[in-house]
Amino acid sequence: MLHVESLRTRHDGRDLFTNLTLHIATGERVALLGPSGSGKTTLLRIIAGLEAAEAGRVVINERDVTNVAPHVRGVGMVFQDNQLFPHLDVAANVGYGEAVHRLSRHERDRVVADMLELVGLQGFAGRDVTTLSGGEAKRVALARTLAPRPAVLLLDEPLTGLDVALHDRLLADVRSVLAARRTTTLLVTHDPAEAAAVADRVVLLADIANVARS
Amino acid sequence: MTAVRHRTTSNYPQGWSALAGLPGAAWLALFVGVPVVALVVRVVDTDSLRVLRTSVPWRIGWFTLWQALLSAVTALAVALPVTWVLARHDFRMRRTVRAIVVSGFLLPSVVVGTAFVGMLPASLQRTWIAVVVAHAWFNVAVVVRVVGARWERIDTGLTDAAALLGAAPLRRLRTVTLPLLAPALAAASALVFLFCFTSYGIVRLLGGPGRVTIESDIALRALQIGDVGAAAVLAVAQAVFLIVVATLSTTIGPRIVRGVALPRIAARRIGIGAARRPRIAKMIVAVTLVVVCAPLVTLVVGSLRVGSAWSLGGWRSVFGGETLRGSVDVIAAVSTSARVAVVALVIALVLGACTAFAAVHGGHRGRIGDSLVLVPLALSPVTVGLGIIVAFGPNAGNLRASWWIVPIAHSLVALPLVVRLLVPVLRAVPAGLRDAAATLGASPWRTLRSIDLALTRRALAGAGGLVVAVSVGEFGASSLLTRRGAETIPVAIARLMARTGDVLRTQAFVMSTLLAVLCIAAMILVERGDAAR
Repeated sequence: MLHVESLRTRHDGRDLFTNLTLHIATGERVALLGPSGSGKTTLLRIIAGLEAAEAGRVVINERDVTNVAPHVRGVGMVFQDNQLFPHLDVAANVGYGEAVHRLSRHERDRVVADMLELVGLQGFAGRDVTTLSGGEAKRVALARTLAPRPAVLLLDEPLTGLDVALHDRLLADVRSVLAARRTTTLLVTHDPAEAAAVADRVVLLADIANVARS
Repeated sequence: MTAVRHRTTSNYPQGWSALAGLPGAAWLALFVGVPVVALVVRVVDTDSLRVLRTSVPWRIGWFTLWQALLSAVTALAVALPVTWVLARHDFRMRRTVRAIVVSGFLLPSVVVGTAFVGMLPASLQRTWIAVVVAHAWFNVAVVVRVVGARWERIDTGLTDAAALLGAAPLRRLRTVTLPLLAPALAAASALVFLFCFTSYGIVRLLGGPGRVTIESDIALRALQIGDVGAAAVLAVAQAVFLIVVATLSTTIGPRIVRGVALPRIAARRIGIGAARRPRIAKMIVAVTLVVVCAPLVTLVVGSLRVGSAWSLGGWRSVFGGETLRGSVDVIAAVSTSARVAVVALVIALVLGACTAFAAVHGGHRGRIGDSLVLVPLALSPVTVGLGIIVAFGPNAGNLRASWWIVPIAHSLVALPLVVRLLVPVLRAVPAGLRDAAATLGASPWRTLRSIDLALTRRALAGAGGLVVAVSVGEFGASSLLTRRGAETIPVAIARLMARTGDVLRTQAFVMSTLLAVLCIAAMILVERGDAAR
């Protein structure tokens, strides 16, 4: 469960949004729609603990994590530009979270193999991530984020910048992967079709917060 | 994002580049090639090799090696926190703080040595600790520049991603930041190691007679003991060692420390107020500024104290024409340094510009010349000086006794730096501009003046500033080649520091302060030229 209450954040000396409140039930997939620059990514970064809000609180599975460091929040995030570690291969990227949580080598290999199978990248374990195509990199990023089984999954415009054919194919894959994992998910996008395809429920940023006019 | 590469096919007549490359090649052959051959012949010809059968050079070599390694590690440890703050945070005066932090490297080694003599307690003077501390201080700038340039290109999203996968700050540093920084850390360590291995001014002022490196031992044997043969053996051995280390670090090094390509643009910096630990970042900046500025403040304070009292006596004795017993003629030293710098400036700038032209427009041969011009960098300044002494002694025109030999030596030290600064600027001149000039009726000469020279004017001014800064601060070659009564400023400072007497010591601080100001002014010119890239 993710509960965000009365969040307020500022950017460049002005309020980006105020009084933002959002509740996502366990296992629910919610898409948040809003125009570019309205603060969608900032909201995800606040939920993840990468940025601090001016006011408000973030609760995950009944635990107030507002002042909890990002590495112990149990939040996973797929970044718009993937942020794959360029010095590690595909397997080491996907297994990074498992290594942090001190899983045995054997366990880690099993999780990595499962995740690569889930995203349709069997046989990619040893690949250099800098040689992946846009779609492959996005799948690795999704697998890496899902591997440690985060309590909440955040997706920041996950399909931006892909060509139409790849976008549609990946959209279907993301939908089926998320359905299979039943992870509590918040996806932000400016594309209503993408939101409707992936999510159980679509909300508009302007409906859950006072949004500043840009 | 990739850099725009311009076509560099020459628009100039065939033969121009070869002609332009000749003077620099001849100069290096005469004043580097001949001395190196003379040194090798001296080593082979005499029984100088006996020096290697004694334990002294091995003991000195061992000290040289470990103090250089320890200095490199210390420089990294001191510089990395502030490198992190500067690469990752935005704050008011960030550029000024960075300029102050890197200013230490602009100062001549003798000035730094003098400052640390004034700053360190007596119990630490003439110890290895003093040498290592001064080396670390001197090289903070190298780490900030080399490592900072890579650190600011590492996307902050990578450490964010690691954090969300459960990695705590130290683990993020160990598994993401450090591996991505590895090539820069290796390059900076290698550079600092090489600088500290061949350091001379600092070791001579702070190490005292008990702490001698190979470089200072070469000078000691050549200058005071008169054992030029043994000095030549050590110089050749040191040069071979340096060439091996430099070759290994450029060939095997990249295979061990494999770096991934990072974006060419800097990642987003966060405002220092919005940082997760703003107080730590601010404290690091404050402590580093105190550490960097303390020796500089010591210089000024030292110039205003005679013994334990505040006094302008040092300044008055320097500018009042008063010559104290045991002192050096300060005004004469300033005048000598100025004349030497002007001559070195003309030689290095003319030869450097011609060589850079040949390197850019000379195709394959030009690129070979571009590499060969770096050879003097592999030789330490003391080795350059010793080579000239051996090659141009009484049997070869006694050029070593001539006043000209000092600016010639300075031009050799500065030439590779001038070429390195000018080549990228010349290369960035779009060939299309020359084509356009040619189609508008411009002759090759006119194209050279109105396109290449016009577009590299600021870089040339910067190179000029660099030559002046190198020349007025140069100590290694000068200490071997300067005749008594015609000392340059750094040699005069070292002589004053070797004497006893409060006023003489204050005079050394006065001259060090002046030299520091002069070098910083010259290097501001260089920064402007660098910005022309």
